[in-house]
Amino acid sequence: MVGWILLGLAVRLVLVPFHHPWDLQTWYNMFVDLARDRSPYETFRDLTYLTRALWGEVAITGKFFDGVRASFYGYYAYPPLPLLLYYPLAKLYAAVHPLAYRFVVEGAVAAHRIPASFGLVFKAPLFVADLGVALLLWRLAGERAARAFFLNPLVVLVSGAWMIDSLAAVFAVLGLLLARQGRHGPAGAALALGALAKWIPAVLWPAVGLWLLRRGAPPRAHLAFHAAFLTVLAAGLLPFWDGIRLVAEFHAQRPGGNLTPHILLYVLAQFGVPHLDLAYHVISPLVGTVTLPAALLVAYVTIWRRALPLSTAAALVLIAFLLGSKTVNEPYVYLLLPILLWEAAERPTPAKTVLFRAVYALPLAFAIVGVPVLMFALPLYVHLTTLDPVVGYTLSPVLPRQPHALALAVIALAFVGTLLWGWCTVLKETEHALPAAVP
Amino acid sequence: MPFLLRYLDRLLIAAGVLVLVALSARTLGSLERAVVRDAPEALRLEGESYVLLYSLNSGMNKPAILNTAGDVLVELSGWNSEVVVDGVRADLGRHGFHVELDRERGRGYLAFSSLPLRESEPSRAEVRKYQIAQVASLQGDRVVVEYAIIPNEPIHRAVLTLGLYRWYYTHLVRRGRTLSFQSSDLSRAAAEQHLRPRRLTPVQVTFSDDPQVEALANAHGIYALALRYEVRAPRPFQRTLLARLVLRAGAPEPVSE
Repeated sequence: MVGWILLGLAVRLVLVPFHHPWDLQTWYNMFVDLARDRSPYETFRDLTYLTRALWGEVAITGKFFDGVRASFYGYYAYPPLPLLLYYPLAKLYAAVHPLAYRFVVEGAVAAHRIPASFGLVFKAPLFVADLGVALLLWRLAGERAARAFFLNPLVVLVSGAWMIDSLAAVFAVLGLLLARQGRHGPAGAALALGALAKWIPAVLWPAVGLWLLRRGAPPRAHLAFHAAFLTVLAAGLLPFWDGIRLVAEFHAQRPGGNLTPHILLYVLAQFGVPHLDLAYHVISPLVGTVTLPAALLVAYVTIWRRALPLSTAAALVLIAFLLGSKTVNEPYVYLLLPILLWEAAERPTPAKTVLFRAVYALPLAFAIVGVPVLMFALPLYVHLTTLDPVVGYTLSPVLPRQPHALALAVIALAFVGTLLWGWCTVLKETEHALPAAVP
Repeated sequence: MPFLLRYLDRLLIAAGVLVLVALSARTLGSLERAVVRDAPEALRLEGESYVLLYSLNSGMNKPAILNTAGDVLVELSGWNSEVVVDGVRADLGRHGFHVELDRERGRGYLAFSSLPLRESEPSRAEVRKYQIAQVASLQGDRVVVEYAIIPNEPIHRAVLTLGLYRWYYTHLVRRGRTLSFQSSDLSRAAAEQHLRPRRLTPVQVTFSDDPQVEALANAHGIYALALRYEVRAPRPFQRTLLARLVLRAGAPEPVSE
């Protein structure tokens, strides 16, 4: 046991100096905000208006930038729980290191010289959360699944050098474990904490509620679960309501892309197709507002009609989220991985093993090609050299644009196909379990 | 009911045509208004104590700062502010500009872009790619205006000269980094006819650093102050602060007969 945990931690420590440049900028400036008792949502708002002013001229005349108009600045657009978790750390860190804002304009490559110690302070809670998910998974699915999760390359990359999805996942998986144990109130609270760390675990709330209904849980169980979820969620969101509204606007208006069919717009842009602004800024978000609720609705109806076990229901609704969302960034897949491992342990089949491998490997391949992976070394490069790299707005002058876009589109469409196949596979394999799940 | 079901398709088509006709009639009725409606000439950002006025079709008022009585306290001019980047000089009025207002929080974001300069200059390569970002915020009893430069390619030296216009400054006094003056309710033409103002507003402008300040005057008095700020090797793609002004005004005082 100790061996794989130490190995997983060692790999993560090696990754501490590496980071996705743009997201490192976000986390570093989040520390600056917190150290100065300023809401990152207000900084997000300020930068967004400034970005609209800076890019407004470009929208008329073009030529300054490759790409289309930016309506928002890419900054802290997450729920507030990470702010509360990091607040004391930011204060302590600021007491040792002077902190100053470092932002590039939207669309530029964020090449900042940020102290290496920041990476360790920022990532330590993520590593703990990774370990927490692994230990919870051990309880749910055994040591093999826990090890497969903790040493998974995508999980290691996301927590070691990228995003805060582990904070959401640890609460979400805890919520599912508690629900299975019949501790409904704590389960609702844990799921809400997951949704307060990143939005994705919120889609599990109705899934667990339907699962409880189909199990014939008593009314007090429903009441405890839903009341705890809603109370904790409201307590977390209401103090930041103004910022949450801005974040909701951002998510509603942002164009689709990455591991979704919306990436085809990006491909068309690289092939010089003109006048994509309408499709990018209006049609793509509009399609997203239809596909996400539709996919989730189909998943919830399926959970209800087929009385799916909890792990299957959770897997199905997360697959539905990834299929319906207009934007699927690589880290979004993080939460699905422990759920798939749990599902595979409950009802093992060769197809689920293949599904797990494809579901993590395709986003990983997308990150390798798309970010691209060498960019994770940019913070270390900037830190070690005295040079100030002026890398411009995109790497498109370096990478051949059209083949690059086509490669990304192929991976994205393969991922969508895998999810569709995964939907069918998960449902097909659980048909045998149906009678046992019905009360 | 059988009739409805039998002719459902035709009924739906007919209903669609009727709706379209009704909408078209409505459209024709409002067409005249749509055609004659002008694009706005100015944007106003209103706060409790001040109003920021941004002209959209000229280089003036970027922005003008008014009190709630409508008197111009000072005008930040686009035409008469200039930037010199690596030796290439241009007034801000010749730059492309775009305004975004956060009305809820009383903030105005104005970006000046060098793009039109590059397109109009015979030797474009000499005009560097940069933007000047101005953020003006209404903060209770004061207005804070900040200017930053954002180079989109390496530049060595940028000089910003801000033109603060006021037709005309009266009782102008400088103490350190603070300018004090009286602002009247008179327009330029009225002031030049030596008409008597109905009210005067005491104004203080405090500026960052220690810029060179030059007063411009004509036969009627001082009408502009030019504040000169300089920055060397600002980092590409990042905001580097050039200038910060803080304006405070007292209550307008009636001028006795």
